[in-house]
Amino acid sequence: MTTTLEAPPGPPIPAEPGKHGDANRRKHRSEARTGVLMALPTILGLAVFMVGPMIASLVISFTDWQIGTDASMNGGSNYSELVSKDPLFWKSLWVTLYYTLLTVPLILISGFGVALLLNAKVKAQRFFRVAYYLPALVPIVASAVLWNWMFNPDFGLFNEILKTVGLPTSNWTFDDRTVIPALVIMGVWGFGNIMIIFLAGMQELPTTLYEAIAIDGGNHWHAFRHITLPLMTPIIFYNLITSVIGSIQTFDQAYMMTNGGPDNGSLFIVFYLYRSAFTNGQLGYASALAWIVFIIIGIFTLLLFRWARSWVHYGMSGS
Amino acid sequence: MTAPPAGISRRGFLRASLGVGAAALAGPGLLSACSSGSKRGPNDLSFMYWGSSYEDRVVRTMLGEFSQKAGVKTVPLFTPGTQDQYATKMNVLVASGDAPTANYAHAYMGLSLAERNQALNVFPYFDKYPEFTERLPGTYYFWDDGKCLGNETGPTINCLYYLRPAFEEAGLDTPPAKAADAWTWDKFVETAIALTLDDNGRNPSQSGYDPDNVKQFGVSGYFNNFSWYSFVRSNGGDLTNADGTEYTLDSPEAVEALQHLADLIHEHRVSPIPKPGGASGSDTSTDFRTRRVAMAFDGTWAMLNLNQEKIPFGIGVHPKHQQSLTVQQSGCTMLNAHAENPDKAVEFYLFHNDPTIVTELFTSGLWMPLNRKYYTDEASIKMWTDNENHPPEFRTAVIDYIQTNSVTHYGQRLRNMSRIRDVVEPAIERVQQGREPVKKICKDLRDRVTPLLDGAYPNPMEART
Repeated sequence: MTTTLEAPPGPPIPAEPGKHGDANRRKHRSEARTGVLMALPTILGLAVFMVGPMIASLVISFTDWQIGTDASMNGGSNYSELVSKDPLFWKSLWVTLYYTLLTVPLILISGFGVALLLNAKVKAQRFFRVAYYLPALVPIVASAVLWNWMFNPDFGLFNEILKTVGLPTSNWTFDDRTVIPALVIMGVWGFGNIMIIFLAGMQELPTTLYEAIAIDGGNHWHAFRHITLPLMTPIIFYNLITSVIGSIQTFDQAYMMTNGGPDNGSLFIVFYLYRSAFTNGQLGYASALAWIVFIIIGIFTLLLFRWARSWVHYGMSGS
Repeated sequence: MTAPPAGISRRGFLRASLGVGAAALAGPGLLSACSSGSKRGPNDLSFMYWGSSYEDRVVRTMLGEFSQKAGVKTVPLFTPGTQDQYATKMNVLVASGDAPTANYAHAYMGLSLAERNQALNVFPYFDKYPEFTERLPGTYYFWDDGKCLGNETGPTINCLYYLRPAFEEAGLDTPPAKAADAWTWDKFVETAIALTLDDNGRNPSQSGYDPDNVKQFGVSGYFNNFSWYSFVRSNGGDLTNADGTEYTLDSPEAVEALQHLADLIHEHRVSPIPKPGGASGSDTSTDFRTRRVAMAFDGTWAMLNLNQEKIPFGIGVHPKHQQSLTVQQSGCTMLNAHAENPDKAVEFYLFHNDPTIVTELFTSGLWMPLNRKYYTDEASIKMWTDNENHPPEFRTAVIDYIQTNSVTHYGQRLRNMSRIRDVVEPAIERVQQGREPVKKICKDLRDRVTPLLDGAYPNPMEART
C-alpha cells in the first residue's frame, strides 16, 4: 500500500470546555466500572480458584505438611531434597521430557500433514474429517483399555501384525525401554484436536495468493513453501505451545495403563506429583514438585515465545 | 462499549450479571455442602471399603444388620478402583477432616495414618473384648508399643492354583497339597515346562518349540501380590533384617530365589511377561478360563471368581527352596481416632468381619476368618469350609499351611513403607525384565532402600505365640 492517509483540512479543534470534559470523564469512569463489574465473575473465579490455591501451594511447598499432621515451615527443604536426594524426581523429569520431545514434533507433523490432505478437494472429504477426528473424542479410559490390549506382547494386535509380516516383536508398555515410544504412538493417535485447528487455519488462507503464485508459474510445493507454511506459522506456534504444555502435564496414560512402570519408565512428573500428594499424603513435598513443574512450563513457554520471533509471521506483511 | 440488549436497562443488566456471578461462586459451595451434609451426620457410622459388587452387596447387608442391632445409622462408602485411587480418596477425606468412622486400608496406608494420630487405638479394648486376643498372630497391626489399630480385615495367603484339565490332559501329577510333600524347585520347573505348549503342541524342551506363538503357559503370577517375597523367604533371604534397620535383599539366598523367578520367563520360557505396575492386568480366573496358563500364584480371594465362573481348579502348596513357605498379607480395617462414639465403633469393628454375621463372604471363598478357632476347631472349620466352594485340599494347602508355613509380608512390618515401595517395586520390575543380572539389581537397590529404612513395627501378639 502506497497511499498515505492525511487529516482533511479544517478549522482547529477547540479545547474542550470544563463541562464537557467532566461529562466525558464521568462517562469513562462509568464505563470502566461497568467493564470491571462485567468481568468480575471471571476475575473472582481466577482469584479464588487459581491465584488463591497457587499462593497456598507456594506457602505449603515450604512446609513439611503431611496429610493428617500439623504443618510447620521447613524452609526450602522440600526443594533441596527434590533436587539433591530424590532420584525419582530426576527420573520423572527425564521421562516427561523424553515423551515431550518425541510427541510434540510427531503430533504437529501428523496433524499438519493430515490437515493438508483434508483441505484438498477430495471425495468423501467429510467422512475422512470425521474419521481422523474420531480418536480425539474417545474417552481416555476406553482408549486405555483398547491400547492395553493392542500393546500386549503375548496376544496384542501390534505384535500379531509384526509377526505376520516377519518383523521382530516388541514388549511395548511391558518394557521400560519401549514404554515411552509406545505411549507416544498412543498420544499421536489422538491428533484430531490439533488437526482440526490446522484445518480451520488453512481454510482461512486467502485464495488470491494461490491464484497469484499459479499465474507466476509456481507449483504445489512453491505454494506450500511460500504461502501455506508462512501464513500458518501463528497456528503452528499455538499448537506447539499447547502441545508442549499438554505433554509436560501428561498423566492419564500412566494412571490408567502403566502405573508409572515398568521400573518407573513411565513415571511422568505430574503422575509423581499426584502420587506424592494423594497416595503418600506428602502435601508439602508435592507442592514443591508442582511449583517446579510450573517453572519448567514457564521456561519452556518463554523460550518458545523468544524462538517464535524468528519464524512466526503475523499478518500478510510478515513480522 | 457495546450497549446492553434492547429491553434491559444497564442497571438491570448489571444486577443480572452480578446475580449470575454470585450464584456461580455460591453454587459449588452449596452443592458441596448438600452432597456431604445430607448423607453423613456426625453421629452416623460411615464405613469406607473396596471390593467387587458382590462384596458390596454383602457389606451393605451387614451394615443394615448393625444398624438394627446397635441403633445407629450406617453409611456405606463403597470405593472400587485401584489401590492408588482408594488411597487418594482416603487421603483427601482425612485432609478435609471428613474421614469415615471405619475403613479398609492397605497396609502401608493404615500404619502411616496411625502414626499420624488418625487411627483409634483398640489395644485398650483387648481386656473388654477377649476375641481381640484370639486372632492369628500375624494379622495384628501395631504401630507402636501398646498401640494397635486392629487386624487384617481377613487374612489371606498366596496359593498355587492349578487348572485340573490341563494336568489331566498332560498326564501330570497335580501340585502337592501338604507342605511336607512340597515339590522341589526343579520338579516345579519341570512341570511348568511340560505344561507350556505352543500352537503346535510342543513344549520348550522339545525341538521346534515356537516361543512367539504360545497357546498355554505353564505358570504365572509369582511377581504379583508379593508372591515373590515368599520365595525369597523360603530360600532364607529377606528384604531387611528382623528389626528393619538393614537391607538384605542382596544376600546370595535372596538373589538366587529372584533369579529363579526371572529364569521362568527368560530362560525356561514358561511364563508370560508380567504387566507393569500391576495395572490393568488380567486375573487368574480369566487366565484359567481362556486356558492361557495352567498354574498361577494368587491370593486366597481369587477363589471367589474361580468358583463363580465354575472353573475346575485345585490348590497346592508353594514349591520349596530351603523349605516351602507362603506369604500372609492383607489390608486392615481401621477406626477413626476422632470417631464421635469410639465404643460403638469398636463394637462395629468386631461385628463387620465376624464369620457368623457375614458368613457368605467366608463360605464363598473370598475371606478367611481371623480367629484361631476357625483353623483348629473341627466344628468351626466346617462352618466356613464344608461347601463346594472349598476344594478338599483346602484343609492342608491353606488352613494348615497358614499356621505352619507362612510369613507376614514385609509391608505390614516395615515403617516408611510408602517410600520404600516406591523403590522396591520398580526394582522387582527390573528383575522381571531379565536384562540385567539379579545380583546387580539387588546391589543397586541397597543405596536406594538404606536411607529409607526406619525400623519395624512391633507385634507383641506374634512374639507371644
